[in-house]
Amino acid sequence: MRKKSIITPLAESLKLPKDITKGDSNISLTGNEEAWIENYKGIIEYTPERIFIQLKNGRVAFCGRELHIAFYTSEEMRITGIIEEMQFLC
Amino acid sequence: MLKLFYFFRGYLWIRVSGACAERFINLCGIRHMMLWNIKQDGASYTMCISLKSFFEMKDIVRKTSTRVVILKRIGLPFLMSGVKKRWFFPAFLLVAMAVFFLSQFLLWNIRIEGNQVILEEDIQLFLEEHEIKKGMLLKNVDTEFLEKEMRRTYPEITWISVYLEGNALTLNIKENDKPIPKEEAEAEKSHKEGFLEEEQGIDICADKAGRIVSIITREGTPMVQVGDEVQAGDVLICGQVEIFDNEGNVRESVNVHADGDIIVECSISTSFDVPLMKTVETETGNCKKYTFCRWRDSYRIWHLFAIPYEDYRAVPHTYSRMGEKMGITLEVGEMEIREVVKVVREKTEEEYTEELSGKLEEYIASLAKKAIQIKGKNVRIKKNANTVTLTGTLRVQGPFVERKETKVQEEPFDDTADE
Repeated sequence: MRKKSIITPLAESLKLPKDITKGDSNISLTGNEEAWIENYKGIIEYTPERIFIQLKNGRVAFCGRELHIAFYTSEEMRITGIIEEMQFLC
Repeated sequence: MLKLFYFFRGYLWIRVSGACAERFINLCGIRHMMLWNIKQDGASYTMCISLKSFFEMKDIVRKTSTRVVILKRIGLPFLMSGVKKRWFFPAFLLVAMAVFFLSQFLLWNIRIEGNQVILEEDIQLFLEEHEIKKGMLLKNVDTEFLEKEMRRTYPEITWISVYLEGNALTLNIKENDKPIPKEEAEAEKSHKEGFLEEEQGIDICADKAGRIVSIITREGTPMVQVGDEVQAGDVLICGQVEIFDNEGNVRESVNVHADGDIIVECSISTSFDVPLMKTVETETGNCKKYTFCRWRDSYRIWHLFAIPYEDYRAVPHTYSRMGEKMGITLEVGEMEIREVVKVVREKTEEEYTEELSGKLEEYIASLAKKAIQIKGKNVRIKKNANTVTLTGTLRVQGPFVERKETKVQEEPFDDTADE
């Protein structure tokens, strides 16, 4: 806690990106057909209607139709399909 | 691009089934294995994985208790295994690529543009002397040196540009349109009484015996008139001009180069022979077909066994032709080998008459090129034991003259002068 309390204001004052300092995830949406996710831990559930991903600080769920993972590595993944809903679960 | 990279490295399309298939994906991700095209297929997942990663995931499969089935092998390493049996195709492809690649470094064509006075053959001869020929390495072509040498060798050239364009060497020439000034030595020659004096006079003499039809003298003294009969060697225009004084006596004589147009009418005897017998080839109807390849002017026929005919006629049928733009011709096609039988027989009257007439016409055409006109001909054909002979006389008109040095006429020594 002590360490975090120092890093957070320092990072804010230096305007450093939070995905580096806090390990927050980066999610980029292109329309409702493509999503890029960085800094995640793994997949919890994967069906064509719902993809449930474990982030470093929580979870995110993509709901929609014909969803599939086009690309998956330890760093980033790309989800394609028709995304109808995105839900954060802390 | 990434797919292309994985295509060269090889990848697999696999099906992962089991209770912890998601865990399998997560573990692959943790171990930096790249997965793509992950799709759910009922209770299992299908995905693509690189060949290298596939061999490293054995313990993940064991840990997650999943079952992995290979659906398809994709990529060059898998193609190569099939190609091993047909090694000739990739080998040929590689050789063709190598030949194509190497051909980019060679000179394939030489273009000469803008020359009017200088003959193309002369320029080609000049290039050959400087070891510039088709098929040489492009880096050995020194365009600047060629430009300098061309300007030095041919003073008529006012501007020249030598450049390489692709695999072709282009020589763009601009020649001097104005007449070339006479040499200074000639200009310095002395003029005497309006005549250009030469060291040695040149006569125009008759080359054949005949009758003078016309004579126009530009320089020198005419010795004959129209209608005169002349013999071979007779002087027609003398290369000496005599200058008279006011009293009509010869003051001095000037040596000149005789010049003029003289037409002499004379007779030329001709004789042509053709063999009486003739070999006729008759096709028997037997025929075989082979594949051939033509490189420039040489043909190469592929056949496993020797051609079974003693005498044959080859008729090529080209299928494809290439390389014409580069100055080389490569043809591939089918060669028809037709069997023939040779029969020796005597020529008919029409055949040998036509053959001899052709020869005579050819001879007359060669005379016409030398500005010789045919005024009449009297020929006859005689059949001998083995040959047929055409003999006859042609009455022709033309410049049957030659140039000879003027003979100096020595004055006879007069013994009575001293007395």
